[in-house]
Amino acid sequence: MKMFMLRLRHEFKEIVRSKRLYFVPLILILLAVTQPVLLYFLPDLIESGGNLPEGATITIPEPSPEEVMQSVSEQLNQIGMIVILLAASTQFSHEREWGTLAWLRSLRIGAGTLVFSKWLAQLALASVGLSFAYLSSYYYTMLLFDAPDVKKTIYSLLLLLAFTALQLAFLTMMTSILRSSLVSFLCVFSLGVVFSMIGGIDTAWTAWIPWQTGKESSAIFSRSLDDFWPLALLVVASIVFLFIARRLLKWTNA
Amino acid sequence: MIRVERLSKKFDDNVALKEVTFELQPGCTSLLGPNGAGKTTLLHLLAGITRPTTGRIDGLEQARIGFLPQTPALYPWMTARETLEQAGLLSGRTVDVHRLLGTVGLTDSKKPVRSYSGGMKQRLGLAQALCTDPDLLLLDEPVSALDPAGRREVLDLLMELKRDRMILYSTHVLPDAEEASDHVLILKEGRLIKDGTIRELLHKQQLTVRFTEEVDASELLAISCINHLEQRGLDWHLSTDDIKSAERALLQKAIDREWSIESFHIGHHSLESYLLEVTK
Repeated sequence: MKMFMLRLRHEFKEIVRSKRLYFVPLILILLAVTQPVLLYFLPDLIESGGNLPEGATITIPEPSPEEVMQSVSEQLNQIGMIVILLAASTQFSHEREWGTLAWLRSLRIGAGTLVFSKWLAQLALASVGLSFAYLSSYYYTMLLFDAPDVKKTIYSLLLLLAFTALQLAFLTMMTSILRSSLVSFLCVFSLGVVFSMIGGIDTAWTAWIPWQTGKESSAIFSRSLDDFWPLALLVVASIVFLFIARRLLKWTNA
Repeated sequence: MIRVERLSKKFDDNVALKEVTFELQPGCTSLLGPNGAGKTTLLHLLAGITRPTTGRIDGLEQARIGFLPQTPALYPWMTARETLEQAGLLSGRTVDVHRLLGTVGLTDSKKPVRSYSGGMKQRLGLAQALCTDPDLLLLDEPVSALDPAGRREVLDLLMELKRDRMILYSTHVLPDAEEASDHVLILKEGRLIKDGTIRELLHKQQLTVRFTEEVDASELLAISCINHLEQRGLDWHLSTDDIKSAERALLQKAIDREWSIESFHIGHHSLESYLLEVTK
């Protein structure tokens, strides 16, 4: 446990020194805030865009606060996730490049300690960013529209964090075997795209693909809060990936 | 003492190390051999970085290991102080950073490691390896990036450190190995071809002779008791176990063939000539 805490502290220090602590939350906040602002000013934007025939009118119904938060969640789930994964993709490739992975092994630091500390530090960074992003978008939605459902917003955030945990666990697994951070990122990204396409086929088993449950963070705003299995599924899948990453790191060359 | 028994390592189809067996004695042991001989693989196996395909290493379980890789393993965003403090914490030791930096000729600075020169990184890497207060110090070409003064300092440090611990270091700088080492291991194509003390390996004597004219190598090799012959520049280096007989026979042949000798020198084999001879 002591080693784990030392490594976790090291990972946090690296996040601060690389300035990821500032730019990741900042980008996520900007992504989140643009949604309520854009939706609020959409009629004005279309009108000022011109190209409409004389006398033509377009009526855009005002979205409900939950619909605004749904679009925020979708934005963070897609573009936000790319930012989070890109920021975290150098985990083991840098350690390999600097030779520090080999050095850590010579100190008998366990693969589990390395895998879990890296994953947790990246998840903490993403959690800070996503929480601030939700908070700021909630504030702007409340200001420009009305207050969204607090319970649904919190559950949506929890689902998004769990989905981020899964994506980061899968990324950690890929970086533990692949030397290139870009290839690792592309693998995780491509898998997300493939599963979202498979998810279009509505069968009983596609609902159980962990990647599918990522959509739940936005879908929750348009339905009632009844089942919590997507959250449990994401947590279990993340743990499974982390244990696979630990095993892979143990057997791959530093 | 650490005992390595029939240690082999295969990377896919490439056999990097083949059934290597030796005992690592207290003191300094240099690991020699041409590029690709398996030196780094052997050091990685001893450091626990990679696992052997077959074979075993005894006596390593309880040993504290200090390891300096070929390219020092440093976090570029850390300062030297942070690097050593971290190494100390991870190995469960309190480190006197100031003293350790002084030992390797560095000063405490707030500059990140990324701004260090190659030589400074190598020194810091050595200090990092010493943070564990190791029983076994494994160094992969520790002087390769150092200037002559830095090399001298590291050699002196090795001489001091070897008194109470085992050191195994790979190098291509043979005069250094000759000076600092008590034992020598020579690898060739993954096999351990020589294992012995410097004294044992260099017991052969060598005649160095320069003629004023071209002579035929086969004529020299025909002299009885000459084991090995090599021409470097204008000099011929002749290895022998019986220096008196070789000297007499060579001079007799020179008289018979009317060769004029410009210079003639009797000495011990250098590690360099020995290595060239056994790895040919």
